[in-house]
Amino acid sequence: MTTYVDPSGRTVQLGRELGVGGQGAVYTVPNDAGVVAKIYLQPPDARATRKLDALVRAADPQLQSVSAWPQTLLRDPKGGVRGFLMPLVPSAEYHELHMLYRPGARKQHFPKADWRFLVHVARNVARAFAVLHARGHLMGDVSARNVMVSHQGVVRFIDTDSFQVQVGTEVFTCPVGTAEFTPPELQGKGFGTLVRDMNHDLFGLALLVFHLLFEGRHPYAGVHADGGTPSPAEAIAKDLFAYSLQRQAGVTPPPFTLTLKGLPEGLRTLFERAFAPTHAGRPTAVQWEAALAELFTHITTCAKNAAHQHDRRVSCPWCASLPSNAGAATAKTGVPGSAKRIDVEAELNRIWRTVQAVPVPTAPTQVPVTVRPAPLPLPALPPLDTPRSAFQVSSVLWGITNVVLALLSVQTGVWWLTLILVGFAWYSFSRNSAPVREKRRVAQLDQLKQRQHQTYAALLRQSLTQYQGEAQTLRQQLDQASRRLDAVGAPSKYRQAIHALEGLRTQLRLLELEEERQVRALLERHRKSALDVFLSKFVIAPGTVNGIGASLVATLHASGIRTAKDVTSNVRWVKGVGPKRQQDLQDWRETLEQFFQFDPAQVPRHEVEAVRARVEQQRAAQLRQLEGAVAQFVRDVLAWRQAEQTALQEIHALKVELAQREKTIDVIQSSPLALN
Amino acid sequence: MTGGDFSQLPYDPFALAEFADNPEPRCPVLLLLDNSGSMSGEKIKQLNEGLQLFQQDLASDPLAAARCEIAIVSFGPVRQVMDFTSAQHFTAPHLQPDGNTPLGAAITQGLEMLRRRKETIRQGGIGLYRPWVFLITDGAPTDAWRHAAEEVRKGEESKAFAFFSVGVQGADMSMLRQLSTREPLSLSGLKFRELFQWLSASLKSVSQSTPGDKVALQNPSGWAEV
Repeated sequence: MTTYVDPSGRTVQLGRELGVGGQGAVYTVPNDAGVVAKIYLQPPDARATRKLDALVRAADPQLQSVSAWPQTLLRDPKGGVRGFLMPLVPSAEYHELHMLYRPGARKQHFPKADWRFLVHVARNVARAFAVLHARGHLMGDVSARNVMVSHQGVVRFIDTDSFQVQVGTEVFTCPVGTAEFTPPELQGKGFGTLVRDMNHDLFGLALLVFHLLFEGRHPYAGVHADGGTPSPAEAIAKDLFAYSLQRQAGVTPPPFTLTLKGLPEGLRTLFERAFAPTHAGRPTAVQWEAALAELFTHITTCAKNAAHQHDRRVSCPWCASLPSNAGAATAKTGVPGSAKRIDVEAELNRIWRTVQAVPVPTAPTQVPVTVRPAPLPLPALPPLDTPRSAFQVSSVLWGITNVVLALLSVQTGVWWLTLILVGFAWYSFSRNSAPVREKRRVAQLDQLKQRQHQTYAALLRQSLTQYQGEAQTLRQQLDQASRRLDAVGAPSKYRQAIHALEGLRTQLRLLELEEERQVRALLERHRKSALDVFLSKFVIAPGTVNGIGASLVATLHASGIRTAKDVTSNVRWVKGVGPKRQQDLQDWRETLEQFFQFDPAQVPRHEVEAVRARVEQQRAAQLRQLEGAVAQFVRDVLAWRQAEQTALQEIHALKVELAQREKTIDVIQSSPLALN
Repeated sequence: MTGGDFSQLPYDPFALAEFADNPEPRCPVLLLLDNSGSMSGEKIKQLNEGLQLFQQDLASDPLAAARCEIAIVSFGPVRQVMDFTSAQHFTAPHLQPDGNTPLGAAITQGLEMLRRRKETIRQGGIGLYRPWVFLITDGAPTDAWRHAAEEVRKGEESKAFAFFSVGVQGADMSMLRQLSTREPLSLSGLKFRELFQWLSASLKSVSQSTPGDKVALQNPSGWAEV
């Protein structure tokens, strides 16, 4: 083997050959595990040598982190450039990008990759292009084969010696291209000396991003209304972007694929721009990176199917795209209905109108006493005692006696005696004189009045005590009546009753779900047997599944595994089926299952009717129960109101009486007589 | 426009599953292989070995294998050995020499299969490369082949497919010349292996970088007499 020397004069030993292509072969370098050597089959000519030199001079750590960029020229002992050293892209870790975006290959090489991973990789692709473009270099021959992706979702460019590089004013072109990644304006052109610009590379970048996001679909492959079957390159040349929402080009996306509607607005716009017939101003790598980073933060897992991931701002596009999912959706809505079905909501509405017509009881307000209470009659003033006569008969008798005695004393002649007796007589008679009599009468009247007042005051005190006692009794009665009113408790009873009715109503509505559940279970039973019939149409034949040849097919058939229907995890017990083939067989079955469409209309109508009829009976019974409960409720509410009314009337009456007593007490207490 | 373009097509859920699994544009390859009695012996042995090699070689390029799909019709009598099968899953058949050489009927049946497959691909919204039809025979047709020749001519004209014919020792080359618009190639000796290697390498061009303007067919000088 020829030996090669690097620019510093050291000999570089080549190891194992890793691969050979049209231009050259790649070898390991035993002394340095991190690099490999590419040696050209034909020694590069002068211009190719200058390009390699330019590539090596343009190398920098960031370029080498995203690509297998030539880093050291290798010469033969005569000094002729024969190849170069570049960073190793380990083949155990890295695969060509199409091995990731093609679902069939992904299952094998990236079994754990989900859509989130694909978006992440698309973002890394954009980042790698951003590094390249920032330096003025172009991939030129953009293709999925020139982009390697690792299981960590890290991206590396390969075949970098074909890239278009610019050093100073000199441009080294990329002499090749891949037709299905070539922009429309370059279709059919020779690439040899063509100087590409960044806008051309950006078409390829958009295609790579599209393939990653759209499960390996080519944006220009669709169903053509004119019945044409162009190759992707022919479709690109005619600007037939199949997914455009802005333009109708007579081509629609393939059946059961994601569409632009499954992406957020920002990315939609970028794709429309990248594949627009204007061919100008395609989104840059930096713009793609930003939009994909934004999408990544919004990815959510579908609520219905954990295998689906999508932007949370749009409804799950995968559910909408796959027929198996569509089947699940129709099972909900496309179930044959029943003709004579009770309209539950209408019935509930009708019944509930009765419930709503019952006024909602409020907490009973203590009716205020509005009438001014008239005080009760007070005890009458006791009559004044009849005054005795003011005329004193005794004084007259005494006067007469004294006159007689005086007359008698005159006879005796004791004149001083006579005089004294006459004086006594005078005094006795003067006691009945008018002024004296008046004086005596007034004094007696005063005395009588005073006695009358004392009596009355005693009477008032007696009344006061009586009324106070009555008021006390009334307050007690009022208290009892209020408690009776509270015991009626219409509001709380109403709440309880409504709650119970609502419970019945909910039960009825749940019956709806129960019916759906039962019908769906029935459909599922039929779907499963239809699926079995469907799967049994796919006979395992040589080549059906990768690596399963005629002899293994015969063994499988002999073991009773003839069709996709028979493929279960049990296939692993068949001799010759390893874990790998078991997985492949099961993947095959799963793929077929995805394309199984089940029409719920196939389920015999009478079976669905039977389920519905059963639930219908329950529904009718529950409706009757609810109606009975509502009628009882109306009666109850009426009874509560009557009880409440009675209690309120009683309270009102008691209050009036109490108020009268209180007023009377007040009057008595404010009376001056009562103060004594 | 003929009524044939509107003939009924069965609903094919498997094709939809297949296209979801592998949405790469397709290049259908139809092999029309002569297994008449005259092919017996070393000829058929070499042909079978060539097919094995073809299978292995094509599968070594996963992208080409994802894009190419092979169908085989043998004639002597006309038999559909294999409908279009992705090169990833293709397993080479083992042909046995049999009866006569109904070449015309084989072409008609093969082209009908191709037409159906193209329609499935069209409905699936998968890009299509121009299909290849590859006829290998060592004798002269034992049936009417003029109608088949007319179909081949129309197909080539409308670029519906590219038709190649290869004559093995003893083939009626003048008939082949009338049959196909391209110059028929004459297999040198029994270089079936080289022939299929060439076919595989040519088909791989659907998955490879090209200089753009001109897609040169590989030189068949390794196996064909010039």
